[in-house]
Amino acid sequence: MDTLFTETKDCLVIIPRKRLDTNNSPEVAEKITEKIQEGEEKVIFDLGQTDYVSSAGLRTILVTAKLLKPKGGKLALCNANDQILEVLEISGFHSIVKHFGTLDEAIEAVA
Amino acid sequence: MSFKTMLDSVFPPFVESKVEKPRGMLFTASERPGIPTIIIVGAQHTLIILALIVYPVIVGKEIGLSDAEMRGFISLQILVLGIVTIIQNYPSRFGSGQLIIHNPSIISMASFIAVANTFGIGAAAGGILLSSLVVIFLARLLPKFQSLFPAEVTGVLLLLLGLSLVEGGVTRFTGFANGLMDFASIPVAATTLGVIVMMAIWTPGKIRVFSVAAGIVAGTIVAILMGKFGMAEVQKVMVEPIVALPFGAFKIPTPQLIIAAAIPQLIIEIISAVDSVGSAVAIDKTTNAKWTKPDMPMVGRTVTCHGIGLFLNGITGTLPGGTSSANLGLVAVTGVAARIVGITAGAILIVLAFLPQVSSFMTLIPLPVVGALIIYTAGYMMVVGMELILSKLMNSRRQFMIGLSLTVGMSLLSMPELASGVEDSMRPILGSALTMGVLTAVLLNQIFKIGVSQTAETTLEGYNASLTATKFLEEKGADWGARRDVINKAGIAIGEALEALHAEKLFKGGPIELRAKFDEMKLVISLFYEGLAFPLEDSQGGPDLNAFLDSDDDAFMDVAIAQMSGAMIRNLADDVSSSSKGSMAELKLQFSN
Repeated sequence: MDTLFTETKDCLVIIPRKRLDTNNSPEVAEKITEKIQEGEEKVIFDLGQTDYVSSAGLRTILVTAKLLKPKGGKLALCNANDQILEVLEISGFHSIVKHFGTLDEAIEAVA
Repeated sequence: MSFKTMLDSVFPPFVESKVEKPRGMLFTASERPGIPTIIIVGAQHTLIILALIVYPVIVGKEIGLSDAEMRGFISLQILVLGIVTIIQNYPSRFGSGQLIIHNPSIISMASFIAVANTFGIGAAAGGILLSSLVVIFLARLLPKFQSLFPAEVTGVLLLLLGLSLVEGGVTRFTGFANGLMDFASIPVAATTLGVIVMMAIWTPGKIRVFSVAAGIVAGTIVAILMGKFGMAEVQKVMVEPIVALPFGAFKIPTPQLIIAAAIPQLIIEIISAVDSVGSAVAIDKTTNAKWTKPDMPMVGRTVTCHGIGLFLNGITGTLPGGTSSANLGLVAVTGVAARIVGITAGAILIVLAFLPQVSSFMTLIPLPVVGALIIYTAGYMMVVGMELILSKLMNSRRQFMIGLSLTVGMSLLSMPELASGVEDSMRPILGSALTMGVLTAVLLNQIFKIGVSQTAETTLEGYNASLTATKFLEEKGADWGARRDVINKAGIAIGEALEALHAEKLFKGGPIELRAKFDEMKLVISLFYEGLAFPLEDSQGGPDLNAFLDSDDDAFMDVAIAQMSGAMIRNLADDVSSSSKGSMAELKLQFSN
C-alpha cells in the first residue's frame, strides 16, 4: 500500500503518498475502519506527502469522522498543500475537521 | 462609411462589463464610494506613483539633465501620468473604465537612456512616438500577439534587466568612484534598503505598499545626519515657485526617427503593452467573482490607452509609462476598484505637476538612496523574471530557448566590447544585452514551435485512466509551454471528472477520449464518452456535512460526494460545460493560461 499508517503519541497517523483518490481510498478506508473498531480514538491525516485528494479521498476522511463521532474520538488534518486546502474549503470540510500547519500541532489538538 | 461607423470599428464604444462582486471587494469599477474613501484611496494610489517617480529621476541623472531641467522633466512626467490615468479610468472608447493607474515604466529605462545618450533625447522621443502608433494600431490584436511574448520571454527580459541594473545600483549604493568606496554613502543606502525589505516582509499588505516611500524617507533622514542632504538641497526646493507650469528649464525635444535606435524601444514597448494586457486581465479577475474569460473589448481599450500614454510621452520627451502592478496590488488590498478613485488619483497627479517644489524635492533624493532603490528593483526583477521562466513546464526546447537567450544577453553585459566593431548606427540593437537577449528568445521560441501541434488526443481506459490523463497533460503541457499550475489544475479536474463519471454511473463503459487544445491564452480539454451528460447544476452552499455526521442515512454520503465533485471541477476550471448527443456525451473544461 502506498499509504503509511503509524502510531505516534497514542494517535493513528495516516500518511497518504502522492494521492488519496479512487485508486487507494477503499483500501485506506478499510484499514482505518479496522483500527477504529480495535479501539483507536485519535486519528490524524498527515497530508505532507500528498499531492492531491479527490472526492473519493474526501469520502474516506468523512467516513473516518463519522466512525469516530459516536466514540467521542478526534480527527485532525495537517501539512496539506494549497491545492488540497482549497479542495477542503470548496467541499465545506473546514466545518467538520480542523487543519494544522504541523503534525505536532495536530497531535496536541487531538490529545 | 460615416465617420462614426469608422470610429466604432477602430475604437469600439465603451460597454460596461457585467460583473459579480467577489467576497472582500467593496466597490467595483462602476460603483461610487463616499467622498472620504475616494480621496483617501485616490491619495494612496498617487503616493505609490510618486514613490516610483524615482525611476525617471534615475533616467534624468543618467542622461545628464541639470537640476533645473530635471525639475521640468519630472513635472511633465507626473502630468502625463495624471492625464493618461484619467483617460484609462474614464469609461470611453479610449480607456478601460477600470481602476488602472499608469506609472513610469521600469522596463523602458535602459533603452531610453541608451538611445538618449547615443543619439539625443529627441531620438528617444521619436522611438516612443513610433512605438505609440504601433501599440495603438495593434491594441485590438495585441492579445493575439501574446504567443510571441509568452511568460518565459518576458522572464528573460526581466532577468536581464535586473542584471543590467546591478552595476549602476552598486556604484551609487557604495558611492564607488576612482576605485574607492565612499563609506558615508553606505549607511544611507543600507538604511533605505533595510527599511524597504523589513516593511515588505513584516508589515501587513495595506502598509507594505508604502515600503519604497518609507525607505526613501528613512534613507533621506540618515543622509541628513551624515551631512549628505542639508540646507543646500532645501534651498533648491524653496527657491522654486509654489505654482508654475510643468516645464521648468526642460526643453521639449523635437522627435527624431532613427530606425536603429527606435527598434529596441519598439520591442520593449510592445512587451510593456503586452504587460498591460496582463494588468487588464488581472483587474478583471480581481473584481469579478464569475470571471471565466478575459473581457477582450476592455483589454483592447486598456492597450489603446497605453498607446495614447506613449504618444504623450513621445511628444513631451518623457520616460514611457505602463500600467502599474503595485497599484493593482492596492486595489486587492483595499477592496476598492471604483474607477472614480483612479480619476481622482489622476487629477491629484495633474495638480502635483503644477507644484514645482514637489518635483524639485523628488529630483534631490540622495544618490545612495537611489542606489538602494535600484538594487531593490534589480533583485525584485531578477526574481520575478525567474518565476516567470519557471512558471512554464520545462522541456528541452524551452531549456535551449531560455539558456541560449540568457547567454547572448549576459555575454553583452559582461563583455560590452563584443559590439565595439559594430557600425555606430547598429550598436543600439547589436550592442544591447536586453534587445539581443529578448530577440534571441522570441526567435528561438518561434523556431522551436515547428513540429509541435497545438492539439492532442489520447484514449483513457481502465484503472489508471486518471494517472494516464495526468501524464499526458504534463507531457503535452511541456511541449506547448503551458503554465505548470494550469496543467496541475487540469490534471486534478480531469481526475475528479473521471472519478465522478464512474461513481455517478454516468459512464456506460468503453474508452474515454481526451482531446486537448492549447493556445497562449487557454487550455481546452474535452472528455468524450458513452453515457449521460455530466450534471453541473450549482448547489448553493454545498452539502451540510455536520448533518451527515449526525444522520444514519448513508445515501446522504453519495449525494454529498457528488456535490463536492461538481463544486471542485467548477472551481478548478474557468469554464465548464457538458452536453450529450445520442449515446455519446461530452464534458468540456477550459483553463486560462
